Amino acid sequence: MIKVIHYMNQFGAGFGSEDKADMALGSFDGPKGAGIAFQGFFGDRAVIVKTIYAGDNYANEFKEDFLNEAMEIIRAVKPDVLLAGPAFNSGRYGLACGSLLKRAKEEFGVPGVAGFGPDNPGIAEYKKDCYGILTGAAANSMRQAIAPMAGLALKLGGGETPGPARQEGYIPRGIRLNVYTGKSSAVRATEMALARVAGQKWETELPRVVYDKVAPPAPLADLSKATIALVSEGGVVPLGNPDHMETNNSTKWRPYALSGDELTPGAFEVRHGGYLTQDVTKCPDRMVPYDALRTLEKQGIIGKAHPEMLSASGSMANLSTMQRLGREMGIYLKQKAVDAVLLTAT
Amino acid sequence: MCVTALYNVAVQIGTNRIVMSGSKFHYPMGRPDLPPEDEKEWRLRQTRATLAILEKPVEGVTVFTQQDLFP
Amino acid sequence: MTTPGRRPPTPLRLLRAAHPDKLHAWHGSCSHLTYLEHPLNKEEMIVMNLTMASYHVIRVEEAGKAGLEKGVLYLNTKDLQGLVLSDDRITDMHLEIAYPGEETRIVHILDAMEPRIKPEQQARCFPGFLGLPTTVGAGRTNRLAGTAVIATAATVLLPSGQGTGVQEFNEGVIDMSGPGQSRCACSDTINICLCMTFRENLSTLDFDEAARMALIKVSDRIAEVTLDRQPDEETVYKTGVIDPDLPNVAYINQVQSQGHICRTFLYAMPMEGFFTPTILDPTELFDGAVVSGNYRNHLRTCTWLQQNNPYVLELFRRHGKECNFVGQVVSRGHYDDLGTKIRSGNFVAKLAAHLKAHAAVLSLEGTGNSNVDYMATVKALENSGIVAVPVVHEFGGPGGDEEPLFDFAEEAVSVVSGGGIDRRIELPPMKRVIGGDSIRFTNSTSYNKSFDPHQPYTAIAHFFFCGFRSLQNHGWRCEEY
Repeated sequence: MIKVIHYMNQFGAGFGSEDKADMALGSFDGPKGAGIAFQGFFGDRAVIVKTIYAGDNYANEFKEDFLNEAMEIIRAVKPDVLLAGPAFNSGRYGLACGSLLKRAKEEFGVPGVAGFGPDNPGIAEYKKDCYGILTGAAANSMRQAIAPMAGLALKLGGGETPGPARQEGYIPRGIRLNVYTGKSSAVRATEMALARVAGQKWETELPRVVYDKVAPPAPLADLSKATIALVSEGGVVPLGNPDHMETNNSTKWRPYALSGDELTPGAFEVRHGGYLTQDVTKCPDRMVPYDALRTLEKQGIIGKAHPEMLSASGSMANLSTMQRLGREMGIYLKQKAVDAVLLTAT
Repeated sequence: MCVTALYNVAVQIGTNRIVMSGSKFHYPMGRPDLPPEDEKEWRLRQTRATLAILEKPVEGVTVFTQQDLFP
Repeated sequence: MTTPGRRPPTPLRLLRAAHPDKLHAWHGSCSHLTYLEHPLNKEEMIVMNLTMASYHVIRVEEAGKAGLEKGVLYLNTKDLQGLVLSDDRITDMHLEIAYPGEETRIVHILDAMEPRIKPEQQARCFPGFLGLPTTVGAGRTNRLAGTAVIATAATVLLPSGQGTGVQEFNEGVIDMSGPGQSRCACSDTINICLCMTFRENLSTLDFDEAARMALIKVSDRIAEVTLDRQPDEETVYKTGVIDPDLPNVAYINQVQSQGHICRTFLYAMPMEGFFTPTILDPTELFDGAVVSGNYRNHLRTCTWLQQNNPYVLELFRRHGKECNFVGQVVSRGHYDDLGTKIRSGNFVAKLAAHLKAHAAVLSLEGTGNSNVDYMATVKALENSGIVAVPVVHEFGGPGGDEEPLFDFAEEAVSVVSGGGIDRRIELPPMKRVIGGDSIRFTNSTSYNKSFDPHQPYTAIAHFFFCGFRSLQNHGWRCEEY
């Protein structure tokens, strides 16, 4: 028999509305409210042994207390799966559901299913940490939310690994794994092309990704007083590649001290699988323009040429890895009192 | 700020200050087709004009072309 | 813009060769005709008309005499050795045969080809390498179906880190069984491995040339057993518009050609330098018009995969039934600057329009930088009103939660996923290794450590022969979880 714990807010648990949003965490034995509908779906395959509730304000403003108290109950009861909500478009409720399921997964490895409306901020925040079912916007769509949430909970509680999001019906969590279809890409591409020209139904296998924006830093007040550092993903490293910079799919960056007025040809080599490197090997300033930077320093155009280059190799690199490297480089350069960076990319 | 010959990737991932290199992607700050002294001149001019961009405010993803560097 | 549900526009009238077996025979024999009598005036379609004669092989044995009897292919080892060693850049050659399902791993691979020969000899397979670059793709071709000839070298040229970044040898293995089998090319053919030793201190130019010619000559010589013999199967291929009520689909074949040892040959001509996208009839691929000289084994399309191009074969399968396979445009990626990439994409779209394509299916050899050329091509096609369905390999990191593609045009609305190349897989030990006794990968999961290929190891798509394309061909894709 699969053991389930169900979480709801003050409204779902029947205590009241905004007036009860400050309620501390509590619990009942057995199902309540929407939990009764879930239990009806489960039949004798699963049982909601406990219902946990808390006010939305409590869950968000006293988050640590809320989570610790919830985990106490989960530790004692040892459920196989958790249900949370459905929160519909209620933002604080959705965030409470998500944070609870995330903590339970991290501490106990217990999987959980939450119900989120299309505009619920809980989706962006927590979709990776639980299985989210997309519900309607408001509580009048409760009936339709029951079967998808309960069905997935049964699978998870029974120890099954759910299939892909579009087959199981949960909100895609941004994890793309390899699946063997046995149907070659040539067949699938031809089918997709023919469906499109015939006006039939088709679905892309890779939806387009939209990237986050970063706020641009303020411009330099005075270039002639600024310290400029050179950074590159062109893979220029000291001869002998002392730190084993990888040619492809690299995961590291290194700072290398520079002396004199240029990158001396012959003292450097290039590790990068994505471009023809011979011209940079002959004259590394073509990738890391230290000679120009030093001249501008002497001319007083810039304040100082930082005497290091930060090297990375970007061929076939993962974007997230490169983002991490960028963050680390930024921290490093700030500690060295560098004001701005000229980054060359291939 | 990023100097590159392939600005479209930098645009898509949200780089804010992008300068289009005046050369090929194998050597964004190089011109191996020029005699060595001329190439050094070229690189100095490019670096100076590129760094001048750092004093300009931008509101988001902005691509500076060679015409923007040398109006 | 194509309106769904409407009958496609009437295709351009092309002409039919006067003699189906001889392409362009009418050039000489029709110049005396008036325009009214000329075949160009007829409402019929020109086709490259190729009959492919397949000889099925179920077993390969070394013998004193070449032959083909009841599906058993006999190789005259001494003769083949003499052929290969007649080039003194190669000092030793022996054969090894590997069957699908064996616990065998093949390493140090230089290229793979299918033995094919044209019996009529007015044109030869691998044109330009064998004989003059006479136009191929018509007439008759014999193939030994179910086999591949694989060239390997005891010591490889320019291993990773010693080349110029792009121009270097990247190890890529073939696993004949186990989880790796569905991730590499030529794992379901009987592989005739030419294990060669090259002279010391050869330039990479000599090494590359010698290796390629050896493989071509052997593929041609082995295929000679089919001459004057009845095939098991014959298939006729004709590109063009068979039924004007069907949609027209073209195939866009983007190859990689950067320079020496990272290049592709078209009629023996390297495709970098001053190359513009061009129309190539799909049957020309069958006859070895495109040969791979790309030693970056993880992302390459080997010659065998161009001879047996799955996109071409699939479009021919549906030709005249669900669509008209109107032809192929060949382009290259990794151009030096964005302007040239955009120009190339525009040329591809223009040529596809000249083929009267309503839709195009695209494949890519390459990665990273070449993705930009690929997306520029998709943009140009879609903006010309031609539906573009590109097949892409995804990045995404080992966990699949990182960015799948780093250049993703807005216009790429219908994309086929070729699976994630960074996902890890555990490979079992192998009883037998052909080609070398030590391999090395320069990917970050096992940087630069040489090891015995009999051992088990953790692999990613980068470690397999034609790894990226093979994930696609075998039918892997990514699903979002």
